[in-house]
Order: sequence, then C-alpha cells, then structure tokens
Amino acid sequence: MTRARRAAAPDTPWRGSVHRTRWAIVDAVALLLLGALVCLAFLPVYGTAQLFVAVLGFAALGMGIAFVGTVRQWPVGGTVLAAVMGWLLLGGPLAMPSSTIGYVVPTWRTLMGLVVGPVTAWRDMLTLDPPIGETFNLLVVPALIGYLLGLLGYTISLRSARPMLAWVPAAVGYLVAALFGATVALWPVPSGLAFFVVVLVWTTWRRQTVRDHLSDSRITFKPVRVGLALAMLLVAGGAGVALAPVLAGTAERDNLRAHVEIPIELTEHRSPLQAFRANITKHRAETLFEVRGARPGDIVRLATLDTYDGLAYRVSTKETAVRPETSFKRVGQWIADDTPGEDLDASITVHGYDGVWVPTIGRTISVRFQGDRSIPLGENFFYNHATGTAVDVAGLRAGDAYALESRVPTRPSKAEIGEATAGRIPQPRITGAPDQVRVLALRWTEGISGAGAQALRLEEQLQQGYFSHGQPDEVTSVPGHSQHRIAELLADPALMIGDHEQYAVAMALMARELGIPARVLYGYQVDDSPQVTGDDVGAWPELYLDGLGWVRFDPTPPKDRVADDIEPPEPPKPQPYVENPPPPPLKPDVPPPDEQLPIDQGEPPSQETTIDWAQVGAMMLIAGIPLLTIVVPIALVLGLKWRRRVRRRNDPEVANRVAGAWLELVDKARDLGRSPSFSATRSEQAEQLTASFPRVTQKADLVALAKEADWLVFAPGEPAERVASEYWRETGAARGGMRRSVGWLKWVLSGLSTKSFRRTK
Amino acid sequence: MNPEQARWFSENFANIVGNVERVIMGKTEAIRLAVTCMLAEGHLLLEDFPGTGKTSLARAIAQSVQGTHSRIQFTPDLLPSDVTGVTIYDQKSAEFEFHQGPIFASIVLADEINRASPKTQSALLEVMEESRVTVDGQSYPVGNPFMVIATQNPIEQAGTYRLPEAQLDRFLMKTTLGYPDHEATMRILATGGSRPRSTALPAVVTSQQVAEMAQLAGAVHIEASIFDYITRLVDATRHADDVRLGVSVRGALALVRASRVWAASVGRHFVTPDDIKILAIPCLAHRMILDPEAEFSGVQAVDVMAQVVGAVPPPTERATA
Repeated sequence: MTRARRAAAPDTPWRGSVHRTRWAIVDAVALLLLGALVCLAFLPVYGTAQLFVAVLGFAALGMGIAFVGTVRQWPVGGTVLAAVMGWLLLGGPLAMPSSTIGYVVPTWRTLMGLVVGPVTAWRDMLTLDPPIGETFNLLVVPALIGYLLGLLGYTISLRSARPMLAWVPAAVGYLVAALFGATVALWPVPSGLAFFVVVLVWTTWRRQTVRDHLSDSRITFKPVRVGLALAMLLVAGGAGVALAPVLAGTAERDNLRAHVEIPIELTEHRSPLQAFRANITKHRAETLFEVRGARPGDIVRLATLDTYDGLAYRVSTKETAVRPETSFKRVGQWIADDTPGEDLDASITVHGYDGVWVPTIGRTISVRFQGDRSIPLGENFFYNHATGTAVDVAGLRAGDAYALESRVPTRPSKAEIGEATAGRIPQPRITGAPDQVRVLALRWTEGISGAGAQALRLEEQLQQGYFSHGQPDEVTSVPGHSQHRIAELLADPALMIGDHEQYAVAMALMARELGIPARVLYGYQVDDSPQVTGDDVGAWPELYLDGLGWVRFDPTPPKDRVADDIEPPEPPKPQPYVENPPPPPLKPDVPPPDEQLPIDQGEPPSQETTIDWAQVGAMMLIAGIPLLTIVVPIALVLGLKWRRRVRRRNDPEVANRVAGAWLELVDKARDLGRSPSFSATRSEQAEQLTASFPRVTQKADLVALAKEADWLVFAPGEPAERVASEYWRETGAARGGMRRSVGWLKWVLSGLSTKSFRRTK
Repeated sequence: MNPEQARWFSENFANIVGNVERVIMGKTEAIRLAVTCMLAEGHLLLEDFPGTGKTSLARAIAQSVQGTHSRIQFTPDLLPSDVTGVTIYDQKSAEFEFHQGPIFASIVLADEINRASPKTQSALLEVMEESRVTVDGQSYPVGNPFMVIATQNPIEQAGTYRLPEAQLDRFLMKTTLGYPDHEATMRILATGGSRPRSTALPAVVTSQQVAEMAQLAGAVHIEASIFDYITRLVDATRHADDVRLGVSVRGALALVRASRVWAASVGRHFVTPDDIKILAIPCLAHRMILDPEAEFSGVQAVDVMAQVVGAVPPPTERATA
C-alpha cells in the first residue's frame, strides 16, 4: 500500500536521492543548532544541563519521527501517534529523570507529569523563582518546544514544498523561550544574533539551491556574494549590538515572568515572634525538631521579621514589601544565591513543631522534602529571597523531614564591624516604636560615629540588662514585644529585664532609629545535641552594614545574668490603664482584640479579597496558550462532527435522514482513511466498505443496507420517521462492525480526523 | 407503476432474456441491453465482428416476443426501395400495388449498415425514427414492437460509409456482443448442433404483452436528484477533454427512457443512480464526437464516457426544493 501510494505521489519531495540525503543532514544540523540556542534562552530559568538533554534529545527524537514518517509515507495521524508514543516513552529519561526508576523506566508520576505537563507546566514554570532546575515536570515546556521544533521543522524540510521554511517552528520556540524565560537574559544579543545568522544563512542557501535546481544550473559557490553577505551581516549585527542598549535600556526583559505574582496569604501568620514565650512555657523540654549536620552555635531560622507596627515585629508581605524581591516566591530545584559563606548540608526532621514557617539555616540553596508529604510540601513551599525566610503554606507537622543545602555567612570580626558604616537597603516603614527607644539609642551612642561602632555599643549596653523568661521561679518578665512592653524594658536602663524577644526587638528598633537597616531573626540556636527544644529558642537583631551585609548581633544578656544577683527590684508599679497581654497562643494569631494600643490593623478585609484582574488575565493567558492550541481544535472538530450528525438525523426531508445515516458511515470510513470512492453509487460504496472493513459483515449487511437506502430515498413517497430512525439504528450496528475491523485506538483517533470535512473533488 | 407491476415486468423480462440466452450463451449483459432497447422502443447498434451471433440475437428476440424477423444485408448497391419496398403496377388489377420491403418486421437486423450508400442509410434511419414507411404519399406502419438491430464491422474501412453522427444519435444504444469467454465457448462447442436453433425458439411473451411492458416502463418513477445526475453527466461530456461535441438532449432523453426499463427489469418501480451508471456508456458514448487528434491517438468515446462517469458523483439524497 505504501509503495502504491509512493508511486501515486511522484511529487513527494523526499525521493531518497543523494541530493536529498545531503539536505536532510544539513537541515538536521541547522535545527539542532537552533535548538541549542533555544536552550540558551531557557538556561537562566532552568539553570541545569538537563535542559540541553531534554531539548536536544526531543528535537532529535522529533526529527527521527519526521524522517521515518517521511520515508514510510505515514499519514498525519500516524505521525502524531508516533510522536505521542515517543513523548510518553522517552519523556521520563529526557525531561523527568528524577521521577523515573533508574533514570529510564517511567513511573505513574512520570506519565501523569508528561500528560498534564503540556498544559500545566507553563504556569508552574512562570511562577517559580529561577533557577528552576528539574522540578517535577517543568522541563516539559522546553522539551515540548524542542520536540515540536524537531518534528515540525524536519517535516517541513522533508515533506513540504517549501523546505526553506523549516526554521519557523524554531523561531516560534525561540520567541516562546524569550517570553517565558528569565527576566535577565543570558547573552541576549549574541544568542539572538546567532539565531538570526543561522536562519539567514541556512534559508538563503536552501532557497538558492532550490532556485538553481529549478533553473537546472549547477550549484556554485560564489565567494563574492558570500563575502558581501557576511559584511552586511557584520554591519547589521554591529549596529544592532551598538544600538540595542540605547534603545532597549537595561538588560532586564519585560516578559510574562515579570508580570506574574503568586498571592500568598500570610496575614494570619505574620508574627511568629509573638509565640516566643510559648516555647518556654509549653515546649521547654520537648524536642521540636532534629537537626543533623549543623554545627553547635548555628542558628536555625524560623523567620526573619522586618517590619514593626507597635504591636509586633512582623514579616513583611506583598502589601508592605518594598521591593519585588522581598516577597515570597515559589522556587525550583534550587535557589540562586551568591552570598559568600560556608556551605552546609543539613537534614531536619520535625517532631513537636508545627506551623507554616520552615526552619532553615543561613541562606538556603535548596530544599528537598522527603517522605509521604514531599509533593504537597514541595508544591506549597515559598521562599523570600531577601530575608531568607521559608514558608510552607501546607504547614509542617510531626514526621515531616527535609534535606537542606545552605550557605552560612561567617560573622565578621568586631574590628571589621566597628569600622563599617550603615548599608543602604530599602526597608518597610516601622511605626509605633516607643520614645524611649529613640532617647536611649541617641544617649548611648552619643559621640560614636559609624554604624558598626554604634551597633556594638547598643549591643553592649543592652547586655547590661538582666535575663528572665518570666517563669514562676524567675523574676517577673512579661512576654511580648509591643510598644508598651519595649517601653517597660527600657524604662530604667539600669534594670532591664527580659529575654531574647524584648532585647532583640529593642536593638533592632534602636538601630532603625539611628538610620541603620535592621531586622529581627527568630529561631533556635543549635547546641551540642541535634535535638532542638523549646529552650533553645532565641531572637537576634540583624543589621545591614556596608560591605558586610546582614550582621547578626546578640544583645540579650547571658542566661545566667539574672536579677536575683542584685537587690530585688521594686515590684512594678501598677499601671491601671494597661493590662499585661496574656501569653500569646502557640500559633501566632491576629492580635487579641482587647489590645488597647491604637494600632492600624492593616487594610480592610475587602481589599484582600479583591480580584487582581491583571493577574487573572495573565493566568488565563498562560493557561490559554496550550488550551487554544490543543483543546480548541479538538473541540472544534468534535463539535462540527456532532452538528453534522444532528443535522443529518433531523433533516426535514425524512428520506434524506436515511441518506444522512449512510453518509455518516461513509464519513466515518473516510476519517479512518478507508474512504470509498466518491464517484461510486451507494451499492458500490457498500461493496468497497465491505472489502475495507472485513469484520463489518458480522454486524450488518452493508449491501442490503445500501439497497434499502436507495429504495427509501429514490422510490416515490415519503418514508415514515420511524423507518428513518430504524435505519439509523441499523447503520449503528454497521459502525460497530467497522470499529471491530480497525481496533479501538484507530477508531478513537479517527474521531479527531478532519478528512471527512474535505469535500469531494 | 407499483411494486407488483414492477415484479410482473421483471419476470417477463427475465423470461425473454432467459429464452434468448438459450441461443446466445454467456452474453447476459448484451442481451439485457438489447431487450431493454426494444422495450424502450429504441434501436440498437452493434459494432461487432462477423460470427459473434448478431443474427441469432435478432432472431431469438423476435421469436421470444412472438414477432416477425427479417434481415437486410447492406451492400453498396442496395437501394432505399430494397429496404422499404416498392410500388409495382399490377397488370391484372391494373393498379399500383405496394410490396413491403424487409423493414416490415418486428425485429429487423440491418447487417453491416456502414457498407450501404448514405442514401440507403438515410432511408433506414428515417423509418427507424418514424416507425412508418411513406411511399408515394402513402404511409404504412411497420411492425409492433419494432426494433432495428444494426451492425457495423469495426475493422473494415475500404468501401464503407461511416454513419454520420446525426444518424448515430438515433440509435438508443450502441454496444457490442463480442466473442464469448472461454467457458461459454466450451459450452457452445460441447452442445454443438444439439442446442435449439433460434428459429425453433418458443415465444415466451405475446407482442401484446410487450406493448404493455413498454407502456408500463414509462411509469417508472425518477427522483429529481437523478434527473440532476443525468443533467450533470451530459453536461460533463460537453466539457470533457478530447471531446468536440458532447451529448445532446436527445441523448439524455434516451438515457431516461432506457433507465426506466432497466429499473423495471430488476423489479424496481424507481430508478437509482446505479441504473444510470450502467446505462450511461451504452446510451451516451456513441453520441459524442471526439477531437480528431484524440481519435487519431487512439482515444475511444467509451473511455471518455467512463472517465466522465467516474468523475461525476452520483446523488445520495433527494433533491431539496
């Protein structure tokens, strides 16, 4: 059959001649080059060599299928089927190796990822903070582009009458890569230029050859022409390189990624520090989590708090964040971080702790969740690049475990700190700091210049206070760090009583008053044992110093410096208008309503539920592209067929309903690629169909059906409606027989075929 | 026409065909066409080699329908009066008396019609068209049923006068008997002289019944979409490659007449596209005039007609108003 078809199509571009073979090789190389450039466009987003494997591997596979399809004269349906099979078979090793068994055998998860990836991965890869690496199925996006580049490009090259257009799929892929790529491009000008040059040289060569071929002249190498072309390219390229920065401004790209933001609802959890005292009252001896791989003295961060509102130190959210980088974002396989420091591999197992804040150490490079909940935890993980705070909105609970790759910055020496000046970094505004903070800060640092020296001075002064968790066996120390509590701490500089919560907040606020960027790190300090208990809790101010970055200070007096050592202080004067706030609940919650400080509690709730239409639009666009390219054509074909069928079935002329039933059979055969002749009468078509579908005779006699239809259609008189519906039922049986003859897969695929819409010649 | 009448028609038709088949073996299709031609009140042109059974066919059909049969061997010196008959002065009665020629029969075999002079050919064709002979202002009706089976020898060129196209148009069908196939030839040889001579065939229908059948056939239903199909076919012949002159309206009418009989002959009271497809070549092909160049290069009207039939899609539904 293939031979016959080949003979019947002498104009097929592929004839297997030496000439064609050479072009097949040239086109393959050119397409692979373009594929590599598409990889470069995606590289900043993915940042992994697996990207090249996925894109080039699939480009090669696509070309292979196109080649075999051309040589064997596959129909479109066959090629598509082969492509889908190839996708499912090799998608695992090439694009999702981590989800496979032994990097080869696809698992259920691999197949799911490959099937839904072409639709969902676009959105996910946009919302993750680059570099994504090989995160679940996100390499599906470049892999699919590479696949289509290879399959379509090579098919155009081998089968179409315009092989010089084979670069078009690659160009579309390159545009998509730019659109979905990182905002900071990698060598945008050289790679774009290279793409342009490859396309230009390749198509010009092909076109020239085609023209020469047509005019039957020999292909000659024209050095002058090539020289001129190169010179022109150089001038154009040079001008482009020179003018691009002027015209385009920065190297930051304005693409889809720049406009996508993930809403993360942290309002309820914004101040973990309020739960500080609960660590002592409830979990003092309980193992909250276990940290292996950390050194004694390392701080396990729960959160970095950078905004104060008079009630609590909080984590800034999207509304309060001053820069895009300070908001929480989804991350990929790893997180780009160029902070200098020591690398550390740690593993953390959660025991008594629960909450959304993910304990991390230093700057996080990567997080890999393990165990049953690894997938929900991984998908709900957000990271604030600026503060190093990690959040998992799925919530951690006992039994969860994860591996951390971290980088711990080394603390500069006192001398270095002393000489440092304040760094400049935008920070959210703070409000509600008590006056004593400003008064004391200025008093203590009087005559000292330089932010580093001032900070050391503040630390030293605060360490003169006394330590107390306010437990029954200790001096009274009220928990919390509201405006009132900090004012109370600083009321008498000679008799400051509190723990990390108050001292850290006090120092951070003082530094802010002095114009030094500051924030509060809340977490636990690892001691000799890997078990971290509530007793290890702590809070530390971090100040941003020029040239040193964020430097951690510890203004809290040593735990053994308790107020008992000195004369017992006078009992605190009753302050009738203020009640001590109750100990905060373990889960930080919105401030208790009886809090009497006139604090703005944030924007009205209506503001939070408004729909960001731009975002919705972007999401729809992202989800819409695959939807439009895949779902809409399928729905269109099915819808048109359904409409055609309904029209035939309800034809006002009852006799033509019978004719319509027969046409449905013929159209189905046409879709299956076994069309009876257009110029055949119904009985002749019945004979042809019986020959093409051998098993149809088990279900129905097509020849008799054709004769019946002829009778009902061409004999005088109108058949009864009942007769027409009976005839539809009979042809339904014949359809069953046809299905048996072709197998269910072909049958289902034929539902998408558009052959039956092409009208007869 | 109702289905019962159609069944009666088809039975009679089958009887005639079966009867003729006893003499002409293995040529069912050609016999059916010939009988169809007769019932459609048309004339048949056979283009055949000598010895293929043309005379036997004519005689067998005549015998089967209880009709008379005559044979005219056309030669260049044959005169029109040799066909139609002459008026002779009878000395006894002292009157002119008309002596009927061989054309006064039910089935007339006009053998090698292309050998006669155009004048004689015209005389025959005129009778075919009018079904009556007019001599000296007097009209004489010919037989009923009346069918001329004319034959042409396709190989001889010298001393022949090709029928002009306008006259070819008067034949309802042109077909060929051809040599019997291997199996039929074997049977013919085996039965040798023992098979019934066409002269000894019994009649299976009366000429009265034949007249009724011809009348009934006129009542066979033709759906509008089939008229449309015929029109498209005829129109396509006028635009086909290699054709100088396509099929006339007379040709289309002939096809309609023949298809009615053909449909009734298989027991149908309505015409289907299959009937049209089968009859298109015998009814239409000989009415086309090919380009001389195409003809010279060996293109045959039958092939062109087959192409046209293959290119025009038949109707599948009723025509909607």
